Amino acid sequence: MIHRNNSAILLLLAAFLGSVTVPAVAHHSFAMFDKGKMTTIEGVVSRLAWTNPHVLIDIDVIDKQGQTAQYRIESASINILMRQGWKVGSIKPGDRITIVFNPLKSGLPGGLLIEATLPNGTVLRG
Amino acid sequence: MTRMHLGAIAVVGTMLALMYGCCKVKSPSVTPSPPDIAGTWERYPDDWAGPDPDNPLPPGGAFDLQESYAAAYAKLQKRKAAADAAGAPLVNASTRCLPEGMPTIMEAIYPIQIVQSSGQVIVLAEFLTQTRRIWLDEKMPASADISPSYNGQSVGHWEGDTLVIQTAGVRTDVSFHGVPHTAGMRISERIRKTAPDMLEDRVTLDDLPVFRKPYAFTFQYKKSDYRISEYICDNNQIRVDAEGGGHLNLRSKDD
Repeated sequence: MIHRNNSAILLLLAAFLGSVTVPAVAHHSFAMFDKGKMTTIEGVVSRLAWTNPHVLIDIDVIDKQGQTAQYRIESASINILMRQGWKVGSIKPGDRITIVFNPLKSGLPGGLLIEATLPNGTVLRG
Repeated sequence: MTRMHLGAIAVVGTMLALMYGCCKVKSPSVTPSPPDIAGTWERYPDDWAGPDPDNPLPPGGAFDLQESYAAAYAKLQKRKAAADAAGAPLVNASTRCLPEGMPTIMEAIYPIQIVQSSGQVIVLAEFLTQTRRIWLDEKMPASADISPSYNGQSVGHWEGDTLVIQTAGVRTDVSFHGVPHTAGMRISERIRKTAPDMLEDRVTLDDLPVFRKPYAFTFQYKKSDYRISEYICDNNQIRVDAEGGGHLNLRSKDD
């Protein structure tokens, strides 16, 4: 019960922090991503690159046939994510997370993070 | 009052006048403090870039370019639209982690901090950890003495509440919203507070070989209590194809 309450508070906090004004113009155009599509995957984080211009999340997703697909998800810059409430260790290798993202127009396994749901229910905006 | 009294008063008066004259400490010449524009500033309003942040609107309206530049600009816009549709947007200097240069640094896609120091005003941009220096009360060096740079050579002075700046020597590979410029471009700026928490920068680009008339616009900023952080751009995330299109570097077997 305590865990659920904490999750609810974290969700509220994340929603509030998500409303903080942050730069909308990025270091590159996001036209490589299909903003009209949203894809959801669940998998295990294999690597997290805490770098600028973008934080990158590598995630292994096992499909119904048991095959592992390796996705690379681009997020915003460290500076923007910190303003939105992310911490350095918010997402760690080994975490099982759910990612909603705009897929690459090329169809390759990658995309632009919209939101990540952590094991404790916290939702982090990209 | 006797003559003696009058004489005494005259003597004392003379002495006081002399004392005042000889001992008056000359007050040091006080230079008036320049207006305070220091602090962290963020662009205002929030939607300054227009409806599509991927394609920010030119701040002074459509560019009025000389014929050859207008043709090149139209061609670039066409190429850009095609590249965007194909999911391989054309890379620019920022994509390659290179500085934005003038006047784009003042566009402040991330917050900027203004520092007022002796003889200079410094603009620190969070994006790419860029630094721009404006030298106060100095003459613009001769063109031959200016080494071309991303932000150029800026000299400024105060006119009342306004910091008036001239900039020359911006590298010719720096572009502004896709518009290039010649080595002779001059940028004029007038920076002033319009309210205690509001700042404006009135910018004019003067480069007649490119613009049919000086191109003018105003950047507005709102004061912020945000603390600027380091932003070093690791140029390792985008792969550039032969046509100049950018692709997300995907994972390789070595990752």
